Amino acid sequence: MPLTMLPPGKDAIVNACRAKDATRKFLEGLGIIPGAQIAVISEMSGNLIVNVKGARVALSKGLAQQLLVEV
Amino acid sequence: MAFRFALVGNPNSGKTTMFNEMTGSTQYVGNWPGVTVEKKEGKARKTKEDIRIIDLPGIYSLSPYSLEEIIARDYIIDEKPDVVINIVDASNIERNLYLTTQLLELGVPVVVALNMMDTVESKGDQIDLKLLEKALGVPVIPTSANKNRGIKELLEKALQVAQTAAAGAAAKTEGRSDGPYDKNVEAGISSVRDCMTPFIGEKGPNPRWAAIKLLENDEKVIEKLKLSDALMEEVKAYRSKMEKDFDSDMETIMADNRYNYISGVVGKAVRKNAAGGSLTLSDKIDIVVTNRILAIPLFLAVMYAVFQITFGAIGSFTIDYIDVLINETLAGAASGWLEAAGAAEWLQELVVNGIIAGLGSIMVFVPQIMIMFFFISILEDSGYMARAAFVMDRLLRKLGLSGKSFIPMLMGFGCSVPAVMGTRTLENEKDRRLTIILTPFMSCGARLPVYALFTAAFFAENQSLVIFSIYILGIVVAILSGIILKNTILKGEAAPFVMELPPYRIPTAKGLLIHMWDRGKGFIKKAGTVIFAASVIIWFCQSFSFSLQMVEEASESIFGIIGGAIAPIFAPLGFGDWKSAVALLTGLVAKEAVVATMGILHGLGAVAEDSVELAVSLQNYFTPLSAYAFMAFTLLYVPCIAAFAAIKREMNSWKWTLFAVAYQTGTAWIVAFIIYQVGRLLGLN
Repeated sequence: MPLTMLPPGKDAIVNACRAKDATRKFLEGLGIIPGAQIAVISEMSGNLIVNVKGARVALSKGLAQQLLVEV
Repeated sequence: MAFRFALVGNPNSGKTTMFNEMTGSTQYVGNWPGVTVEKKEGKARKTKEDIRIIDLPGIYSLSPYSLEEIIARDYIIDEKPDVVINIVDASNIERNLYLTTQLLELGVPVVVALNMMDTVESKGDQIDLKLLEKALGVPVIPTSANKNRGIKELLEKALQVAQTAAAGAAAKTEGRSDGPYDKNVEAGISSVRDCMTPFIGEKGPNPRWAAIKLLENDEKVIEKLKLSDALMEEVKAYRSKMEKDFDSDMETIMADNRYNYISGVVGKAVRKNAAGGSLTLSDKIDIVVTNRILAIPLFLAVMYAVFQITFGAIGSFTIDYIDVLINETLAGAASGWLEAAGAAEWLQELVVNGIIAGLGSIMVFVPQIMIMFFFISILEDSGYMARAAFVMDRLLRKLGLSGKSFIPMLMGFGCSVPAVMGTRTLENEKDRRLTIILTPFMSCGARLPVYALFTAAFFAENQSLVIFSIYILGIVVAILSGIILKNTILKGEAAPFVMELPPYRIPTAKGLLIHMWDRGKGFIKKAGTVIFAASVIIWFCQSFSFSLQMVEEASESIFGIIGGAIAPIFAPLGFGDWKSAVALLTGLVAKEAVVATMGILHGLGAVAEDSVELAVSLQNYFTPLSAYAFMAFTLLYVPCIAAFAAIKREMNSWKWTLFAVAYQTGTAWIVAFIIYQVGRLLGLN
């Protein structure tokens, strides 16, 4: 399911990233790659703050929809 | 011989703090990723050897997808610094080591500075440095740059490494058996390396690194190496085979391998104190601050408070105080002194009515600017500003802007100069240009005297309402312009919003003062150069004719004649007299100058904004309708010279600067035209 569906506070694993090349590379540097553990800290009209590898990353809704996760 | 040490690390890992501590300089540090956008160089202090420290932009990886990454990577590969000091945020070690694994592949001498150890210690976590050193194969030095801890040891170790390398005894990091990649990937890398090594010269990059980049299909490296097509085909075959074996794409395989390796190292070397899953204090603050109901009201309240303090009581107090200091005390003293010294009349005029009046109108805003930056710094350094951008992103995206544009636009209500400078935090070039063009539409404080003068003369009964409507007009024009420009010349997908949010920190007094002083200093410097020159020129043009005679009648002066020539342009807007044209021209120095010029040209000498006499005189030239058109024009046309200089510096392009000026002035003309002509059709006057 897309990351936007993940309820806050629940851990999930990133399955796939469908973002464009440059963005995907950037996300990779931030630790958001398939296999990484991810949790939503806060949600605001679709935009998310997530916890990845101990860092907090803000993601816009559009981008969060391109990240598929699995609980 | 000078040694060169390059600081490389993730954004917000403390590189610039480290740089400042090493070199004794005062570069701006913010609790916001991406503060350093270009490399900075300084000389290390307190060392016998000549050591140059280079602060590179913060990067997350060495892939060439952002400007910062390209700058940093090119520097390391092409300039070959003696040592790369990799600053690793120890409180976020897993993510930070991703860059480290890539740096190690470059085959350059690396020293790891395990920074922010104070945060790790205060959490009660422990890091086994020996184990980490062994796993990475390079020296690891614990530091806390903000407390000046470990920096001496770090420099000593880096120097030692540099000297060993210079002596030719450098142990190559290449070929460590326990590298980050699994057996099959490593075999692929070796094969590619072996078949391409003969083709990259002595001076070329590290062969193993080049092999990895070729496998990752790194366009910049492929371009640089210029390998034969046959060889590239061979590389491609290796890549396809590995992608098939792993059932994934190459980049993901590599990233996955690196992160797995890091997890293994971190798992062994780091002992966490508390249970990992619980929410930190930062998270708890975030849940409140970015709450879907509270977020926007909270943000507005914070901003209103900053606004109110800066432009309310304290701000206007400082303006009045400095205004008196400059325009009465200083001007009086100067004219008395010049008269006593028997200076020529023109010289007295130049000093008092030209330089002091011109510079004074700018200097009155210096304390306000410094106060505003003091508060902005608190918001930035604490980490709140990063959240504000997050909160506003959804709203501004509808206008074609991203969340980061919001702060500069808001600052524009105070003064366009710092607002335009504030656009530096936007990384997307198009968003930044658009924001620079729109920001001056936010009515700055200097335009208020113009509205005060005209509304007093023409709208005495609804004064505050009319002024309020002018502010709203600026916002509406900015919104419409945003939509128009974003769909035409600044077309482009709004950059997806991804930003690392720094943990909340308590700002340090030192950081706040450096930031405040830095901005204030820049402003004063500009006033002392551009505004100074402009004041002299404007005074000259108001006082002399084209035959360089001092004139009695201002209408015969250079400005009088120029004003007469350009006045017809403004005729369709309802104010086609030469005095209004000149007032708008002088308004280029500072918008308040419009009021002073009106006063002088209407034969009353310098006037207070609410002068009754001037109001009466203006009523001979303006109707309420043309007065409103004039205010609208003043709101929208090119901001003052200081703002123009700021736009030029931030656009870093004459083409875009001139476009901004033309767009703003064109918009001003069209809007004033519509107001005046439509108003007349509706029977208003």
